[in-house]
Amino acid sequence: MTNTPLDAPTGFIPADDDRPAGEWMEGYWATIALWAKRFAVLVFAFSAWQSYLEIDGFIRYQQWTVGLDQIYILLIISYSVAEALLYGLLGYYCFRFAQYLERALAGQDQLLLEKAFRFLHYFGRVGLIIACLSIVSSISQWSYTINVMSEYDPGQFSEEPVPLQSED
Amino acid sequence: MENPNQEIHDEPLEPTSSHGLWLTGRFLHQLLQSSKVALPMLVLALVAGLSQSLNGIFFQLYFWSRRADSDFYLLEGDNLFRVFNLLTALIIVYLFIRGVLEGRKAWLLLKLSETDDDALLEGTERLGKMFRWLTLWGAVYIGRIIFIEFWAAILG
Repeated sequence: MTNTPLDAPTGFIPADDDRPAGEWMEGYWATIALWAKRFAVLVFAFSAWQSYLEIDGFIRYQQWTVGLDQIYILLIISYSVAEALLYGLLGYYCFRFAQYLERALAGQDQLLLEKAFRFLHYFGRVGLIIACLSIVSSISQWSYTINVMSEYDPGQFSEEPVPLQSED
Repeated sequence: MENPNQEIHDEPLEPTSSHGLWLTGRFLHQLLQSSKVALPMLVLALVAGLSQSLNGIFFQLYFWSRRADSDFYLLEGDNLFRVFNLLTALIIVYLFIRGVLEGRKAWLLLKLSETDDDALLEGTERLGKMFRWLTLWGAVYIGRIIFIEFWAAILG
């Protein structure tokens, strides 16, 4: 065991079988960081929009419902708000991935590179949860659509045809 | 008498860290673990996305076709809005499918990256393309929401 000076730089020490990433890999990583950051901003915007819609909807519905109905509305909207917040978390992980990747490339820091890809892994996990919830939502949407179609009355929208000017 | 401390300071310091980015075993193993999460995520996202999109398009077309029979005029009633809605929905579905399929190809390649350098390189390139397609999809999706809100606000 050798003594090292206190100001010796700490950090990554490559093993014998580790290889340098090379210019091409770093070029691809730079492209990924750029587009991942833009995607993260859009996901944040969508999450904020969804949260606003759900809270606004809840405030409106709360005025019209009483008792047990209020609790049902609260549960449904809580689910939607939770889904919107999950999108926010997705955007956060995507943003952190892009940010750490950019910093790793700028500082040639291996530890930041590995940290970035850990955030990409978390992004995948949250994405998996959202995908499962979306499948549940789509099943309920289809049942609603089929329900509305079966109760649809075509006569409800029939109007007296307005003659065109050329037919006068 | 020599100063023992001077002897220590004269010894050349061995480098204890290395700058530069490396393809370490730990990094490649992380990619493998991420591919096990990302691949099912992309498949489920594709199923959910297609299901919701088809539901929306079907809903529009069904009630559009059930209206009273009359000649179709683009600028009559809300026909222009419906056509815009339908076209943008199709564009959104296309961009989403491109992004997800690109992502799936990327992660299938990255799954092999521990032992295959070409797969690692191509997989990384495709991962960038996945984010690019998904960004375009997100931009059109949010742009459509903003446009519809603006349209509704103008029409009152």
